[in-house]
Order: sequence, then structure tokens, then C-alpha cells
Amino acid sequence: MKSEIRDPSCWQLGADRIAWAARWMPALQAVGDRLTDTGLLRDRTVGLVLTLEPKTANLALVLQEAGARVIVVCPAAAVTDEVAAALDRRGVTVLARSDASAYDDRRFALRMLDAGLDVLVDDGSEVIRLAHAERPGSLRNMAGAAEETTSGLRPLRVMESRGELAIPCLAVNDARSKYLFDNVYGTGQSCVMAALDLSGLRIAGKVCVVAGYGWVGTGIARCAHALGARVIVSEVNPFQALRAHHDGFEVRPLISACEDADLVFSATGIAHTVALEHLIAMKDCAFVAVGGGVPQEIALADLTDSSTEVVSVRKNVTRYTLHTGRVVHILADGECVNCAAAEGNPIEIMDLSLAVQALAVEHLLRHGAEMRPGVHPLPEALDEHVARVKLDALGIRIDRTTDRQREFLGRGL
Amino acid sequence: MPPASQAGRIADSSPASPGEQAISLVSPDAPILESTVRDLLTDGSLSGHRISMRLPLDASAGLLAALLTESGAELTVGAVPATTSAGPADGIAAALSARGVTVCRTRSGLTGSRPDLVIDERAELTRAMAAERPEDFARIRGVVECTGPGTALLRELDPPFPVLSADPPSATHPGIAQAVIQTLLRRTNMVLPGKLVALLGYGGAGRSLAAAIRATGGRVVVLEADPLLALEASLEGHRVDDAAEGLSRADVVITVGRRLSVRHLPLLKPGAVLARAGDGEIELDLPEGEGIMNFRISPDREVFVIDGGAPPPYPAENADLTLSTIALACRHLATAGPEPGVRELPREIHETVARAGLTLRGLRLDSL
Repeated sequence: MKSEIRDPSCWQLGADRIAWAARWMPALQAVGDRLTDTGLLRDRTVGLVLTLEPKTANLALVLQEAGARVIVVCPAAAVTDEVAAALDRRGVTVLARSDASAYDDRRFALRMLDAGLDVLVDDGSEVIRLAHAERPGSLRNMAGAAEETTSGLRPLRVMESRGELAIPCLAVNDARSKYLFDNVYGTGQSCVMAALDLSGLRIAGKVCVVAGYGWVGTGIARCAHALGARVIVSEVNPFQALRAHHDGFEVRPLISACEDADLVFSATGIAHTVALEHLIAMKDCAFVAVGGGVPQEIALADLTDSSTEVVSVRKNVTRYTLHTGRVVHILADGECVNCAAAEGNPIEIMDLSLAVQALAVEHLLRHGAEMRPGVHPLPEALDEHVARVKLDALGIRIDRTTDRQREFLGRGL
Repeated sequence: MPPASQAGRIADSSPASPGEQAISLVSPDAPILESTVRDLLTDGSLSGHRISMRLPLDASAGLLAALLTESGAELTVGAVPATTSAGPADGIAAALSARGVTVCRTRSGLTGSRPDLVIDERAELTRAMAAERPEDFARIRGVVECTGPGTALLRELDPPFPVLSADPPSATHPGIAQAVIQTLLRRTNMVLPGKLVALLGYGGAGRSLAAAIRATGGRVVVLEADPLLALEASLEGHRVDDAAEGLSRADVVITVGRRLSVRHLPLLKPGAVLARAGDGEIELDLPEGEGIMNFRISPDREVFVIDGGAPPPYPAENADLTLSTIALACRHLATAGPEPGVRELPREIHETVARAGLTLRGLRLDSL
């Protein structure tokens, strides 16, 4: 099938960037070798919905090398054209261009479905839902789909409860190889770095407020503290608050923490976390960013209404002058700061998440026919396989449970 | 003051030059320089002094130059290009020219001007004057040298005038650590937790960097030649080793005060990433520029060098500390007339800068 991309000539730059990422993705390569050996993907068609950048491009290449016909689609805003060009040159069908209209994006997704997919790997479950609404026929021969986001799984579970889901869907997002690393180390580190890149702040000695001490908030607090910030955590959950306290962070209600804040992260994933009252209470010239994130996590609409001036200082830094005369800076328009304004999660972290995706494809091809329609967890053994492959690649050895330990464990009372 | 109508016609109708804009943009990040230092310099201590300054000409250095001029000094600036991000050096130079500063473009910063005070980096200008213009050299009343290696070179010169060694204040170390980590991660998109990082040097900045890497989840191996520093590193919980062992295992190598040279190359693990901080040096023949440079050690082994071995761009607030210290060192030379020879900066200068930094943050000193 012929690709639709913006500029085939820029492939070399894309190929270089893909090769750089590949260096740091041993787990994905190992899983790819396993897929090649099984021959399971030979002459199968796999549809990938991706943020099209160098790391995810490696998933497409690994599946292709294992023998699959690979078709990639990506919404215009998330397309890196040189990466699209490099994939096309390697024989992957790419239906994605950064200048595509919403109509084009939809047309690309339908073209992909019409090609007759054996497996669909989705990001946000939009194409799974599109298939159910517009191309139910495409689901008949599909072994199943994999979904890698929390927000994409939510609607699929609703469909399942209504009996509307026609295929098995694997919840890649819920694998431990994903959320234990992706969220803490990946999102935590890259959000702090992106905020520093954008703000130009020297964080040492500054007060950094983290709203929400879940996986992402924990990673942000650790990284900011490592660079010399004084971190204050705010929470609604008593256990998370106690964890933060014992990790050595001051815990205070957000409204009180804001008065001291030089930099605020919202890491709750809940709308209206940083409300207008917080923004008004904020120390003059503070920066506010979202890690992870949902729309209106920072009350931007209210902030705009209460501001006498809104100025774009530079790309992804907006200065709001409040009616009180104070200034607050919003980073990346309140979107997840590491995705919107930097290169997203670090490569070695995405290595884990994409290896899980590749194993999900294998599992669906192997067992999809016997799985009932619905949302399924990734089998424990596959999750653990990814962790072991990563340890192997890093040259880290671990102990085995001994027979005597096993005996102890099996003894019960 | 020109008549108001004329000012309106000339000054207001033309937009500020790019260099002037860049200088005014960093001004809010230099509160110590703009408040405390500016106030102290209104005493006229620099009036009539001829100062030659040779520093990488970024916007912050432009701000210092502007302040020295406004304080009555007659200033010559060697427009050494800022080392990273191509810098707005040309624009800054143009803006300073427009303010009456003499800008020259020789590498040493040498000009026909006969300075009585010199602000130098790596002793380039002072040594050039000693070699090529002995008469002008003899007229120098004092030098402020901004680097450790430069201070050592000047000591060898046995100068007949005072040299103040204005190393960056220790409060800049956390900012240096941040900049190194930030640039490393931005260029590579790698994850720091789990990495083994070899640090060439455990001086002040090295110690800050080691602490930051460990707190982020990385491991550190310190390569030191100084036994005192090596012992401290060990008691602070870091591995200490020699280059043969440390470099062969490290995923990332960062020079902080020490030097990585071609003879180290065979020791490096293939695929290692090399980066530089501050006074550290990477002596590989690479063009400087943003990004990751491949450096092939042998046909089948390569390493990666961040920004061609250039230091990272430091946060603007670091420049506030450094440049404030330099300005006050200049003032000290002009007013106190210290004895000839290379000497440490008087402690009260560091204290003045630190106190200003505390006051601006609303922090209190204890006097119990």
C-alpha cells in the first residue's frame, strides 16, 4: 500500500534519529528477535496508531522485520515528518503528515482499517472506536487490539459493560513494566527537565510545589529535589501524604504552598487541580506546568477571564497578568509539559513500554481467536518477560528462589 | 539630555537592536548585579578607569559591560564568541558599540587601548600584552582573572601588579550541575536513573554534580588525582577509582575541573556519552555546536560527545553571581590598591554578593 507523507526527501535525518533511539532500546530489539524466530508475524498485517517520533518508529521496524506488513497512522499534530519519510523508505506504509486536516486523519485511519488488519495497536482507542462505528466488517477477522493509555482504556471498558466491544483488547497500560518506570522515571524526569528548559530557572534553592504524589508526582518531586529544589507536596489522599512526609518532603495544602512557589507541577491527572484561587495566591512570577495531564487541570479559562494581559513570552511560555497585578507563567498551555514542549519520555523508558506493545501483538496473534471480546490484562508472564529481558540487556543478574525457600513459601501455616 | 522632541524622534521610533533586546531580557535574571552592585558602583570608583574585558560575549556579559560603562569606566571588549548556542555575540557587540564601548575581534582581545584594569579569561589578554606590548603591560594596575587555569598561568608570569582570582562563587555549583544534567538529557533523550556516571574531578562543581546524579537515581564513580578530594568523595558515598577502571565501565563521562584527552580514548566503553562542565575540558578535535557528535575511537568503536565538548549554557542566575563578583573585584582593584601578586578575592566581596542573594530571596541570616 502506498504511503501518504509530507516530504519523502527528508528521510536521512529521520533515519539518523531512529538509529540513535534504537541504540538504547535493547528490550524491544530482544522481543523483536523472539517474534522473528516464531515466524508468527509473517504475512500478517499490523496497524499502528502512534505519536510518530524516533522511538515509536522502532516498534514499526521491529514488527516489520519480524515479517509483518505494517501500516502506521498518526494525527497531524504528533507527526515528525522526517521520521515518517524514513519509515516509508524502509517499506512501512505511513499514512501521516504534519499538515493533514482532521478529515485527512480520519481518511487515513479508515484506509488502514480497509486494508484488513490482523492486529490493531492503538493509542487513545480512537481507531478501535472508529472501527466499531464505521467499519464493523474490519473487526471480523481481527485477532484483537492493544491499548496503551489510561484514557483510552476507560471508554473501552464502558463499551465492554454495554456488550458493544466486538474484539479482545489488551490493557498494555496496566502492565507493571510500563507504569512502574514510564510514570516515575520517564515522566518525572522529563517533566522537570522540560520545565527548566522552558522557564530558564535555576531550580537550586527554589521552592517547587508538586500537587499529587502518585507515580508521576513522586518522580517529579525526586528529580526536582535532586537538583536542589525545596519540594512541597500537596495531596488529598492520606496515604500518599504520609509517603511524601516520610520521603522527606514538606506536605501542605496547595493554597498555602502556592504562596511560596517558584515552580508548580500539577501531577494529579484531575481537572481543576490548580484552580483560580491557587493561581491568585501564587508568588509573583511563578511558573506552572502539568505533568501527565488532562484538559483544564490548570483552570486556564478562569485565569484568562481574570487576567488584564496575556502575552506569549516565547514558544510554550505564556505570561498572565492578574487583576491583582501579579504575574503567573503557564508552561505549554497547561498540556503535559514533557510531551508538548520536549521529546517526551526518555528512550530507555519507552523501550519497556514498546516491548510490552510488541509482546501484546504476539499474544493476540497466538491467542486472540480463543479470547472473548473484552478488555484483558497482559498476562503476568509476558510482563515479567519484558522486565527480565531489560535486566539481561543491562547485564544485571538477580537471584533465584532456592528449593528451601520454595518449600518455606509452600508451607502455609 | 537631548531635547525631548529629538529623543522622541530618534530613540523611540527605532526599535531596540537585537543585542540591546537580549541584554534587557537577561536584566531581570541579574538582580544582584542590577541592585547591589550598581549601587556600589555609583561611588565613582571606576570613573576614568580604562578597562579591557575579555569574556565570552553573551547577553549577561553584555549586561556587565553596560554597567561598567555606565559607572564611568572607559571600556574595551574583546568580542570572544560565546562558546555554545552560537550566542548573540554579534548583536551584543553591536549594542555595546552603540553604547560607546570599543569592541575588537582579535582572539586575545588585544587592542591599542592601554587599560589600567583587565578582566581576563584564561589569562589570554594579559599574556598577549606581556608578550606583544610590554609598555602597555607595565601600565596595568590590576587584573581580575575568572578561571583557575588562568590564575595559575598568571602566577608563573610573576606580575608586577595585583591579580585577583575571581573563580565563580561556590553558590554557582548547583546551577552548573543542573545545566550539565539538563543539556545531557535534552541532547540524548536518555534516562539518568540507573546510569553509571564517571566524574573527572571532585572540586566544588563536581561534588554538586555527584550529589544531584545520585539523588536522581544515577550512580557515580569519581576519578580524582587529588587524594583529599578522592577521600572526601569516598566518604560521601561515591565509588572512587582510576581512569582505567572507571572509564571502562561508565555509561556517561563528565569532565568537571579535570581533562579528558586523546590518551583516555582507548579506555572508554563503546557507546559512552561524553559531556563537559565548567573548567573541565574535552580535548578532542571536534567542531563545537549543538547536538551529539560521534567520535570514532577505532573502526568498530565509537563514543558520543555532547555539543562537541563545549560547556552547557548555564542558567542566567548563575551569571548574576559570577558577574557581580567580577564587577566588585574590579572595584576593589580600583579603590583598595592591593599589593602586587596573585591573590584570592577578599572574602567580603563574596559575602557582599551572598548577602544580596539572601536578601533578594527574603532569607534571614542568624546572628545568635
